[in-house]
Amino acid sequence: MSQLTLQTLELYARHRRASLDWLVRSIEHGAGGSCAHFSIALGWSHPYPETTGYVIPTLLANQAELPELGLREHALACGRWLLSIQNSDGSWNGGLHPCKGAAKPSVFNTGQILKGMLALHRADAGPEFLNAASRGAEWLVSRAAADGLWGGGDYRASQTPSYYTHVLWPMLDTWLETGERSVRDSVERGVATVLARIRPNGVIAHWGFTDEPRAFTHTIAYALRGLLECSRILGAWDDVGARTVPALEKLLRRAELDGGRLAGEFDDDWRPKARYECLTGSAQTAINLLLWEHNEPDLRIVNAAAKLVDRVCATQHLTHPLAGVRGAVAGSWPIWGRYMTLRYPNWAAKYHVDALARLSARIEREAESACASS
Amino acid sequence: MRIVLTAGFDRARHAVAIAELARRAGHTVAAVIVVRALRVRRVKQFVRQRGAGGLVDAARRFVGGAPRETADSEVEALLVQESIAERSLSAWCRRHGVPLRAVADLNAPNTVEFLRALRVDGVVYGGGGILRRPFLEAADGRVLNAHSGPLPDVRGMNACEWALLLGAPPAITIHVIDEGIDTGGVLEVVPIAVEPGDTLARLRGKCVVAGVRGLVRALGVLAGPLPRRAPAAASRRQCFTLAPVLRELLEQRLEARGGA
Repeated sequence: MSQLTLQTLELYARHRRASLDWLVRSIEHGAGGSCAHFSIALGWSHPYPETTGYVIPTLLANQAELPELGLREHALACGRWLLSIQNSDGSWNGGLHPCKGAAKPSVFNTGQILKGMLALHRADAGPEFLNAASRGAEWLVSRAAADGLWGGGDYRASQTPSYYTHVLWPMLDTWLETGERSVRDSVERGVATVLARIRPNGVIAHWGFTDEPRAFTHTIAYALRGLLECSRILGAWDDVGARTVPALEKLLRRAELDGGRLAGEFDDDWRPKARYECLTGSAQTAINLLLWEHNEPDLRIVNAAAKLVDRVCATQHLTHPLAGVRGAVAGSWPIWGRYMTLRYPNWAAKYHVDALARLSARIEREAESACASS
Repeated sequence: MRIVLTAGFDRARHAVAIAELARRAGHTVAAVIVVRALRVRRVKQFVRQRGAGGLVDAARRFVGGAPRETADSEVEALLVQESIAERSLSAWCRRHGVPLRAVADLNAPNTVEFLRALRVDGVVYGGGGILRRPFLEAADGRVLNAHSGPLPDVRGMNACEWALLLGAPPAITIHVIDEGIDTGGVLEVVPIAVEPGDTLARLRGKCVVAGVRGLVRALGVLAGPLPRRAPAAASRRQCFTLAPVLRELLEQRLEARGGA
């Protein structure tokens, strides 16, 4: 029997294409990297090394399906730009490029850039990318404290936030390629430290940007994703990945009860602390739900992910006259919400593309299995 | 048995069918409690959960318009088959001299008091929102419901659709309502046959009709002790309304199975 075609999947493809078009525009305006964000008042920002790093795997993942966008070439250009601004000790600096003040190496940004380096290495773009990733990972290990995290914090908190699992994951991914044991050992210590921060209600202490007991869904999703990915690489679902399930159950329920609208912030008792949605957090949460579902298959989890993705799609303009808005995903919805107020960040577009791709692939698998069994 | 019937709105045809078939079976409907549909909070909640399309369907049913192909078509066929003339609870209550109470919330103190004062053998749930402890206590825990899926496996909303998606045999379950979501003791599980030509709407309709008949058949149990919640009843993940992509997938699956 012929393959099923779903109108919703075609709609998802249009949204994905629009966001990829927008990411390409962000690179064309980025003087090497991808602009951090677009704002109607101020236009395109400077390029952002951190998110340029993790936009690269998204570009490469969509190259085969949309060859006309030249995504591989853009990914390569971003990668070369990141190589050109890597510090001699293997780190990358924080903030946008060029830095406003004194340049300061950043743990988190270095971690995110590793993802781009590894993706280019795996796409056979050249040995220099693995070399850069390896040096970056070594720098991260050299800066890590005995607990595998980075004491003293790196952004606005007094201690290393738990979303730095999003650094542990690319470090571990680098270990997969280099086999450097010290990297894996350091990551395992960090993972154990974060796991010890998980409370009975699933909340991971210190998963926000600040010391306040509230967090954007963006950093909540970062923290959970890092653990889910480390669990995948370590083959440790029961010991690591499954520990995220209580939090994911809460997020699933919240998303379902409100038709895909997820409050932009939660406190440590899962009380919503915002009336706006943090759209990138919603897209990231959809990805996390699908990662969970990969380990514990259940279409009810896919359903919640689909509602989150649908909600982000509903906020996206596909035909807006402003190129910086067309295909973009706002930081907050409504756009004047507290997260990335009045701006369209490149990471929101990136996670939207990733969520759409994962969800579409999951639905296609389900449709194919139905075809095969009929 | 002497019962009270609840409903989510006056023109709930399946509730009319329950009332009439229960009466014909020799039971006494002591009162009908209907939740007033047009409350801002209720409408907002409805739109958030089911979207604008769901609201249009609900509005169509609310005004008693001819059902398009929805579960209502099957219920309408049942009413015709059983020669039930009324299409609203208010009309049915007028004809049979049964008190009809329109309330803002089934769990409101005055509703609970009203129920307690009736001292009935039990309540048949025909809709109206989630029942909270005070209501259940006023009914002495004797509230029966028809759930459109097989319990305990498929609990929550859109249960007929979820049963099909999750590979569970489609069925309805007559059960006791407790404080959980579809976790109360099970009285009967009735299989629903999926036949060539069946659409999702038709299957839902079949579930509703089977639920109406099952509830009426089950009323006799209110004379004795009712089954209690199975230990693992709440362990299954709750189902919510289907996302459009999964609904579309399911509709196409049904079509591929030789359905409509």
